[in-house]
Amino acid sequence: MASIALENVTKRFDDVTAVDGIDLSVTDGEFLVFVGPSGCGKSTTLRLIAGLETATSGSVAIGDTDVTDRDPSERNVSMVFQNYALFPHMTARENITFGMTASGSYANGEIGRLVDDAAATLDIEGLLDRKPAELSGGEKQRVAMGRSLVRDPEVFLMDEPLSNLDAKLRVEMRRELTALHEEFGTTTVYVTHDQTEAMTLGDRVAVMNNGRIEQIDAPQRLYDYPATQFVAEFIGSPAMNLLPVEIEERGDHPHAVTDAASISLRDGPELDALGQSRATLGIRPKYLSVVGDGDSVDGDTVDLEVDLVESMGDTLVVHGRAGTDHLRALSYDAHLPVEEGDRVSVTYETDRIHLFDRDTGEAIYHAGLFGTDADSGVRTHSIEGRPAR
Amino acid sequence: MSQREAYGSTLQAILLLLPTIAIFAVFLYWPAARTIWLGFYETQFFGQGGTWVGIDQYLEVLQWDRYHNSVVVTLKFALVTIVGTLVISILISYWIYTVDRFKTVYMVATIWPYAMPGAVAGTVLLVLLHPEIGLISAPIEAVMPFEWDWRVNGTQAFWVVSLGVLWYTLGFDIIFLLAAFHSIPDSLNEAASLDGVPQWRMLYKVYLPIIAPTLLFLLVLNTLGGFFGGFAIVDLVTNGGPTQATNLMVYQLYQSGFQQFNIGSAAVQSVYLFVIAVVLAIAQIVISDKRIHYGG
Amino acid sequence: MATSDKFDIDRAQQQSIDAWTAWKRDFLQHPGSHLALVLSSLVLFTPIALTLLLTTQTTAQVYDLNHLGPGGLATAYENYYHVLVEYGFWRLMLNSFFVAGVSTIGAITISLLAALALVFYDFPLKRLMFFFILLTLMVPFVIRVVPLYELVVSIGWHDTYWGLTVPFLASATGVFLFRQHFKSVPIELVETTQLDGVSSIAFLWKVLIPMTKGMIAGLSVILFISTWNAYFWPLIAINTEHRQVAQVGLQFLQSAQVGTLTAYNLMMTGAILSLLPSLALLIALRKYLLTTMGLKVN
Repeated sequence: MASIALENVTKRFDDVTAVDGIDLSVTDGEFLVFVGPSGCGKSTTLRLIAGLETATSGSVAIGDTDVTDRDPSERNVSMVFQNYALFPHMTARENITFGMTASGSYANGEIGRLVDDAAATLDIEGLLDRKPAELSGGEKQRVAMGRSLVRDPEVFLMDEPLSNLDAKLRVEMRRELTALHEEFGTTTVYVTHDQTEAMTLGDRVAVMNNGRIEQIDAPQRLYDYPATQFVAEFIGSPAMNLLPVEIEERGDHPHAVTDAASISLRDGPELDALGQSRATLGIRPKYLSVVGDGDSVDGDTVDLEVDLVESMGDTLVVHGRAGTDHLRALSYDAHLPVEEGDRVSVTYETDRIHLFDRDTGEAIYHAGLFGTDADSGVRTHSIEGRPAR
Repeated sequence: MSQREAYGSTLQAILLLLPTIAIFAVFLYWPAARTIWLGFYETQFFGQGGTWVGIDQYLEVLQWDRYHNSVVVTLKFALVTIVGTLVISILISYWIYTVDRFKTVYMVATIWPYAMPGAVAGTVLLVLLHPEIGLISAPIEAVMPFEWDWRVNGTQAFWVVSLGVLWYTLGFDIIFLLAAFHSIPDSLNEAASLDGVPQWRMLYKVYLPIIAPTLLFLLVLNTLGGFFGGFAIVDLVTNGGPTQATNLMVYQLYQSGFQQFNIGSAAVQSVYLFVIAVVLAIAQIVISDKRIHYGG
Repeated sequence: MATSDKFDIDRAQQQSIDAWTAWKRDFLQHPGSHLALVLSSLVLFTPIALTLLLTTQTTAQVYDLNHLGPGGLATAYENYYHVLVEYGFWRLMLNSFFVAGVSTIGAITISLLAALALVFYDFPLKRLMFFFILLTLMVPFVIRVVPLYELVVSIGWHDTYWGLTVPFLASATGVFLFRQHFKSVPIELVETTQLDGVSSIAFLWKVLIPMTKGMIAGLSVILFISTWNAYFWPLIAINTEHRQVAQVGLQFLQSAQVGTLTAYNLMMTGAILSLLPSLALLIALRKYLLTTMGLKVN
């Protein structure tokens, strides 16, 4: 087991910069997930750690060793691939042992014992003599993990290992991955485009976009304190509402003024640092709730002109216009009689709003206090200043 | 660097490529280049330095009546085998494409001659078409209004050689054409059958344009085969005769170089044969390329 | 239980009836294609059938045009024995097997190595190397035969199997096909071996070759047929009779005589013997040959 440290790592392919000056440290035994849209550089980053790509500049260290110029086989890492990467002509057992026998550093008896242990852990003892064509997708992925496990590497690398599985199996495998990590405690770096996987698996999650890390944080903090507008939109479903606002002093407090509403903000240094009156306001749909007939209304409301209603089964997602802004709101009454063309009232929770710099996308203000270290995320940001974009 | 290129050692790569590159360099490119050079020398025996005669030998061969005849025979032979092979193999593979049962049986029953050596085809035809005792000669004489003896009749000898070559070149083309026919999307057939388009019309309006890239590929290969093939049958059956009617360029080259040991002349003939075949092959590619639609 | 057995029998009968009616329906749907194919197959096979017939006849029977039936097993045995043993054709067959076998195995090995370098190595001038190999397809044998003969004589390989095999050990077709196939190997398989530090030769031996078996079989057919069937080069490169290959040996059989008669039955026997190995290999490995040449067969 080992920590991983990336320092100012950049990877360019011809004229495309896939990874753009990343700094990252993964602590010993941590489960770190990279998440982001396709082409954001998450897989390339994983492959840079594996040594399958060589960094254009910067350095990669595993444990105390600088491995930037080392071959993949000298890094003591193992990797699980999306399409399993099993050799079609070998049995499951041969697939698991192939790398060990080829590297020649294990005694035969030892290999047999290690395979049996790994097979027992993964519950694939009965499948060891089958070839990949005779295995289901989930079984293939277990064999591929078995191959990683027997190597007892310093670091596990996983590149979208669950993406080829169907939804139900994915949930099951997710639980098993967590259990495996708890059992072995091996440092793991995991790449996915699926935010649910990222949120449920990671000790910390790194959200990537355009070759850069937008934010690394514990899953809940990503949701509660998105550091950038990109993170705010990417994490959470349905996606956060984002609308342009003007910041104005009204009475004692600054207000965020939209076409349809004016929201009072708490005074603080973060708004002073903004230095302009334009910003982007973010609020998650779950904090915009449609007022039903019998509901008592406490707090502010805004009128919504409905143009689409989607049923999620337990809730309704109501799309509509408030003034010039498009909003998504939720109704917790799935049977609420609302349809296109209706006008409904929507309450909004002022202590659940975020403000983002309209030019840089950086978060400048989080209204809510979630937990004890409430606004530290924002503070650290304003202290560090904004990284150049 | 693409990730498939997992190994970086240039030295190892060179060692792995060395056998192929060395054999091609020594036994293919070097002799091919030297052929042109040898044409400038008049040499009587192998292994002896010849006399430099420059371009003379190249011009001399061109003025040789025997060679003129050989070129004409070769062009005729190439035309018959190129067109014949392509047309017959298109028909056979189309027929196999249209049936649903016995496909594999028909396939094996029509491609097996691909395995047949030219020498075997020659020997078999020599006996079966023998004017006096050949089992196939009697029916031919019974049906045809002429006397059957290819040993004296040049035209008959030419057809014996051409059909013999056709016999064992069909299989190769059929395999490639079957692959092409069977990659035609089924949706096209379904659309056409809904519209009630007759099959023969489908063949030349739809199928042939779709498989045109394969047709061109085979045309080029058949052209090279047409100019360089046929040696074994000629050598075993007709020896170039009668009256040089089957004296293919490749056979004339053999006679000049390996029977009369006129090496310079044989080299010149190699160059001419190569130039004709390659020029024709390239011409086919250039002309057809504009008319063929690849993909979509 | 009894009822289900009965049901199964009914179903089996039903299936064979279905197969027959399906065939009949297909024949009625495409009568022209079926007839044309039967006819074409017959035309292509008749010469070989007649040749087989002649190998069962005595020389006298061949000359007797009224004798069209098979001559009998004893005669056939005698003909084959005569050609193989008395005329020493067994030796020429053995020579052919040796030359074709060595050329085929050698060319496949050497092509695999070259394709390994072209696909899995990163080195300068790679495209040029590939082009150098591919261009050889445009340089036919006839253009180089004269200097090649001169070269083989000058290094002392004339009349040896070195001369018959070594110049043909490289195969552009082989390199091309293997290269295509290697490029279709999923990239993750390469990467996982990289993480394990597997050497390129171990990768070739343990991973690529097992995954390329079908194409190796298909290419073997192509290479074996082309060397087994070769006539021109052995004719000039070998001049000791017992070192000659079977195809050129057919020429020797032309002078076989029984009394004053040319022994055509023995020539035919030689032809069948020279055809069999190529044909047997093609039929045995047809599936791989067809797949290698791009035809998907089930």
